Amino acid sequence: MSHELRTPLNAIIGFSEVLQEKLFGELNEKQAEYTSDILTSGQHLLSLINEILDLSKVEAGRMELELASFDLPLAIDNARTFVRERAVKHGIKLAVDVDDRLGDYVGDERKIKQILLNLLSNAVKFTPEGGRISITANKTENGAEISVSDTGIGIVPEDQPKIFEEFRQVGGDYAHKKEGTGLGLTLAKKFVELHGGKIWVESELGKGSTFSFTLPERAWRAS
Amino acid sequence: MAGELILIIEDNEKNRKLARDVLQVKGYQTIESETAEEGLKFAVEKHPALILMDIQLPGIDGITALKQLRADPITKTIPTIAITASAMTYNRVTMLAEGFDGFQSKPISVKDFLEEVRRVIDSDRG
Repeated sequence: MSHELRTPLNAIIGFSEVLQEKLFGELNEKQAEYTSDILTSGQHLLSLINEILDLSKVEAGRMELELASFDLPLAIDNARTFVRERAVKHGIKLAVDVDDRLGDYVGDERKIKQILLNLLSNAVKFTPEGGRISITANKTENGAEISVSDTGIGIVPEDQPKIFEEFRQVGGDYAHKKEGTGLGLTLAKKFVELHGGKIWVESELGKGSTFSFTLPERAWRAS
Repeated sequence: MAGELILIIEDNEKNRKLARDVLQVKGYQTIESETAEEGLKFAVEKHPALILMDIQLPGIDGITALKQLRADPITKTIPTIAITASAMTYNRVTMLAEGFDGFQSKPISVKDFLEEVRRVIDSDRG
């Protein structure tokens, strides 16, 4: 199914990029604006399709972990690099504190990076200019615990259980203005659970939020 | 600079047009086929500097077609880029392991696509 869904998007995203790159000449202001709208909407639709396909795979029990030993602190650093530019643009400080005792971990590197990226992208999205985001990773008795804290808008207690549900963005006008697929946290939760871990949030309205998840060491067999 | 002949094997008409327009505006020449069967014939006849091979095709798929290209002394050295819309199933690592010289997932980024085309043609020249 993924092939059928992505093929038409190739034309939508590709042709609008050709226009935006002005490969066939200049655009007037309105044409440039609409082209950019088509391109960003196409890319948004692509993320939605990718996440819905991932989610349907998890729910059908067909999502398999591609297990391998990888450098967990390096994966954290990669995820940080990915959002650094956006954070800098919004004057947000990005701090990382990784326990020296953490090293290689056996798990699905791509999915663990996806969890980190989803949490970090949310933190950047919901943290006002001049705020601060910190990533903390600690070794625990049974593996690792990783947290992403922000000084963002926060989430009221009654909304906290809802945010891991599909297509639930909470928090009124400010949050609704932020573009997202509404599936990032749902997928993060599924990916954490596939690794046998837990994910949770602690938050205070107006002060910020901390999302934490655990990655237990298990008797994984690396494939 | 450009000018090289590139063979586009792709069954979707609009995706073929996208590749053709982007390559031609950058000065490349293109020929196209909708199936691998026809594409293999063109490869023998025209000996392009590069082949862009869609993986999911009606009839012979792109991976099988590459094996046939590599088995024929006339076409075996033509550099070939795999292009696929199934990024979950195929990725750069698995496609290079199949023997492709480059990889692009759909939807393509026009800039990355042009860079990959240039890179693969240039690396063929050593």
